[in-house]
Amino acid sequence: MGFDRRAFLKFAGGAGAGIAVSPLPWKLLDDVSIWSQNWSWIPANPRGETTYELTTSKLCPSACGLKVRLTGGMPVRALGNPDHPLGGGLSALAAAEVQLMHSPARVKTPLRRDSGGNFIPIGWEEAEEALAGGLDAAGADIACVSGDETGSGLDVLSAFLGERGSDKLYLMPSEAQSAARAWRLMGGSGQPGYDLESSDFILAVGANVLESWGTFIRNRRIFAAARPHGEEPERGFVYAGPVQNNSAAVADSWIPLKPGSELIFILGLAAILTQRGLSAAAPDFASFREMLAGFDPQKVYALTGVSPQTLQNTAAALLRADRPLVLAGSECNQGGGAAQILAALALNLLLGGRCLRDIPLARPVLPAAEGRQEVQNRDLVAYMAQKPNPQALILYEANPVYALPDPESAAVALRNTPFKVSFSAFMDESSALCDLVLPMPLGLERLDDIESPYGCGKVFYALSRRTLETADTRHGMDILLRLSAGRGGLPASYREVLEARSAALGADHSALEAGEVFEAKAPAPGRLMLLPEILNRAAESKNSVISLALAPVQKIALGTAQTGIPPFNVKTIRGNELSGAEMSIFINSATAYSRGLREGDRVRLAGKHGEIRARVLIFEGIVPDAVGVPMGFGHTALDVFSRNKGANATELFTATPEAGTGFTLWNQIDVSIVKI
Amino acid sequence: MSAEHKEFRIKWGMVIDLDKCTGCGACMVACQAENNLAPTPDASNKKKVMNWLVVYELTNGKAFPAHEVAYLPRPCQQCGTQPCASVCPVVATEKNEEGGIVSQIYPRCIGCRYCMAACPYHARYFNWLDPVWPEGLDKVISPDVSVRPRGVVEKCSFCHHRFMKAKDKARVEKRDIFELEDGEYVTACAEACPNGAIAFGDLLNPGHKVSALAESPHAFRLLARLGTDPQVYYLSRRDWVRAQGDNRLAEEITRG
Amino acid sequence: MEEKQQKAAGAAGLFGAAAPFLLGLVIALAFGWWLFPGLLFSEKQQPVAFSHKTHLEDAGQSCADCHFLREDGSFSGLPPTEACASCHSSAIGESRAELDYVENYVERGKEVPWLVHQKQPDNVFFSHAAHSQAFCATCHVEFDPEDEENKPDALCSVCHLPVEELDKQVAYRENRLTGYSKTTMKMARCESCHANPNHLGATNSNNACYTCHK
Repeated sequence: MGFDRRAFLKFAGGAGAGIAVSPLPWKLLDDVSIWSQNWSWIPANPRGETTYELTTSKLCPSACGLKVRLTGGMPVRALGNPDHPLGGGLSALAAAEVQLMHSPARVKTPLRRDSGGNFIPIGWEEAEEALAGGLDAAGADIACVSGDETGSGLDVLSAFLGERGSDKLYLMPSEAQSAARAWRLMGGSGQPGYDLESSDFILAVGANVLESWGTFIRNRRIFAAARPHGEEPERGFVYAGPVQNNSAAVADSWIPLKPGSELIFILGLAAILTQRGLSAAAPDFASFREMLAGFDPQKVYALTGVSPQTLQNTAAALLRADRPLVLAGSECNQGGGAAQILAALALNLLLGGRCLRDIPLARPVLPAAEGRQEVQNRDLVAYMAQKPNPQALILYEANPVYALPDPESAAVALRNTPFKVSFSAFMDESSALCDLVLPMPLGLERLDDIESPYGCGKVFYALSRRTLETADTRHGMDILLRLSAGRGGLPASYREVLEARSAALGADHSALEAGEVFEAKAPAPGRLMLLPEILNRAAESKNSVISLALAPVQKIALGTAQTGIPPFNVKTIRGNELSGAEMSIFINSATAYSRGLREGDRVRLAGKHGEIRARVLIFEGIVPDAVGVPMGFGHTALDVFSRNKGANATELFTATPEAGTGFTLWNQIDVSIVKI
Repeated sequence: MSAEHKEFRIKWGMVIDLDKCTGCGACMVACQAENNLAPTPDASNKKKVMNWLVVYELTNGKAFPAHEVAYLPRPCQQCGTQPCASVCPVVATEKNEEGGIVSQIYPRCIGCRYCMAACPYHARYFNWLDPVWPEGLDKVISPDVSVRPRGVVEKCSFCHHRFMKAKDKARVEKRDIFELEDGEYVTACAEACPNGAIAFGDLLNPGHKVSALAESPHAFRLLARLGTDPQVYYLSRRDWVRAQGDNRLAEEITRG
Repeated sequence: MEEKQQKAAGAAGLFGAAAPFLLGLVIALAFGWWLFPGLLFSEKQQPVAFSHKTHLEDAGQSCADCHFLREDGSFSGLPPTEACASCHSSAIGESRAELDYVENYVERGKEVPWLVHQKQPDNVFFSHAAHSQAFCATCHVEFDPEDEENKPDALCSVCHLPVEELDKQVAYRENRLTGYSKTTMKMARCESCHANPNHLGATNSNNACYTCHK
């Protein structure tokens, strides 16, 4: 008998029994199930001690307070800081701020354009040499556009340009500039401040105060405090504007206004209030009252779409309030012009102006730098319209090729500039056209400052601080200061500028670096002018007939022109706002009916310069004969989270000089809509 | 099998004031960052997009100018009688712990998706694909919530890890872990909301403001008549918003 | 030929027809019980030769100098290089291990990738604060820190290796399939207390999934 079939089967049977009573199958089964739960490509949780650092957001336009959570020294979350005067909760952008530090859109090394037109990564030494070479070759013919309007970087840029004989420093257009211009026309000294904390009734006209206007996180915290859960609100809040936007959704009432008619609405209210005997201690009050006689409720109705009854009710609500505040602005935080803000300020003065403040502007701490006023008074859009073509252009955290009205002509202007350099944290549309791109650290990666952002009610000063050592970025201001090598009395580092700024304000710099905030009371405004002629001229220009008015809408979840859509914010876009690459524009059913459009129709919207394609969404929260277009889509650079998503609303913008003030504005834009 | 209804000493609950929600999305972003939900370049296919918390847009359905809009954030409702837990064949989801948060244990989940079919709130999501963080973004994974692979169902946990941490803090301070102060444990969404629309606390503790808010005449719960007994309450002074809390038929006679 | 047949017959005689079965059984048992566990685990050495004994006895430290509960209730776990560097800013003594450690970790500011015997996977939330010796000692006298016979950290050794007595590190054995440490606590072990009915009233050791999972 050999090892025959029968013996083999017996052997196998024995082996099977042996294995079954050994740990092998059971252990393997257990281990396989564990193995199937831990794939190597699934990221692991970091481990380490949790610490927190307090700072102020440089990235979010609201300058909200942040409490950054670090795990083992690595920032992992941005949390709100309720003790911060501009904080207490987060904007959808600030909530993603830590994640943005690792965004695929970041510029990772200095980049130089080679002869073939492609970007090649270079070292910092080469980059700084290229920068020096390019700027030296341009001589005094250098222009600079800054997207940072609250930092001392403006002083450095101004001194740097001044030392080279140029004064062409421009800010990206914003509400802050329009307001500061209006304020100074009236005779105010710095910028208008709004003491929202003490006001008991807020009328927001066009200003999307709970989403994007001013220090909106602070605005929202004040709103929250005034509205205990489920109870009748302690303070009134009314929103007037063309779109039932985020602010309108929670307002006591929404007053629909034709796009661009904010000024008329405000003057209509002022007319009623002066008839009721209200006055302001302004030297030109008499002529102001006279001018208002031309804005009777019927005329206001014709121009704004607001019924005389609603206008009367609103005026009555303002009269009832003890400390009412009227805030005017543009739905998309730009292009609203100075006149409507001027009118709102005048209306506040009629109502006693108890919540108005005159916030002094930062005085330059560098001897060679000009005042903020000079910089704010320059009009970038008007400058671009002249087709100036400087020899060199510095973009400092600015993305004009995406964000300016008529972006195509901004792109042409950039292409025609022999040397252009972009200091940018992100590879945005403008950087993509530059000869040299120098990666900037983000707010959480650098020491920088934020001074009295527009909308706040006090003198405010805070520093952003470095929570992460970033490998290959350099602060643009340090680079420019190094390039100046002490000429023009410029210090060697940006930190010295910030220290000087703290000292000038009487703030403790080291406490600020640790996350504290400096605040000082701002005085009530002195005697201001009401400027009826300017208001009247601006109002008269509003008579033009518009067949379909553009109503741009901004949502901070979609980021800013520099950041694009932060990766984590893509999911906040609703399915009816964007589908694949196609975005929706919205009109109400009456508008759709009159133009033969239905929901889902593909349309082409055309402005004077450009056009966009989109789908029609029927949304009843918009005035008739207006089309709502979301801002923040249509990026062509940055990363996959921003690219190929809808179209850029600024393509439709057409800037025109505002009658009366002379500043450019783009809030009454006629567009055509065609089904395709 | 009908779900049993368990009673607890503490019951974590949320009271969301819809009259304060502007729909800005900060809560959704905070939720994703806190709970390690991977970003996605294209989120238009809402059936496959992973979101523990979604802000829905509500409309009163009227034409301009009578139109009104409201926004409704929808986390997991942490039902008292869970349609989900009763159908789970592997006990990957249950409600058993003090606080009454419905758990979801990812290593245990076999991905059958019965619970998703059972959930009337669409609060559950299936990982159709492995989560992908773009290079570098995986560095900001938060330490508190495990990352889920493809093939499992996940949902809002009321930031349960924050409850764990609050309990641990109470333990080292030698306090009762079931008597946490109001605000000691809040979810990431409640913390992020600048409008303070989301209140969070123990519904059974009179010292927590949610306990009174849940009794408010303006309070309602989603699809209350299904008997799911959710721990998430909504508040609105607007009748039409409250009316949408239950998916009533047009011809149904309703009060309020 | 005949001899062989006889031998086979003898063996067969000894075990009867079951011989092949028994042979298979013995081989399988030997493989399953003895060879397989050796094959399943790989042995790894710690990156730094660390002696708990030296730190406790020679340097006079206590466990809590490095392993303590933080104020926020979290457990410090293993000390970061920064903490070690407060003594080891430069090499103490001449040993190779010490020189290697200072050169590779302290001077470079790098964290040591320790192999943690009890490391739990990401989906587990183990609270050191919840498992306190003083509390367990209310019933389990063997954990009473006041008792002279017991060690002040007796509870630690229920899960962790008794490292305080060890001069040489215990080899770390990693499961080739799962990557888990051989000595890590599995869920059954947690449940031996958590699911124990005697515990439910006396402690808060609920056996709900969310008590331990994240």
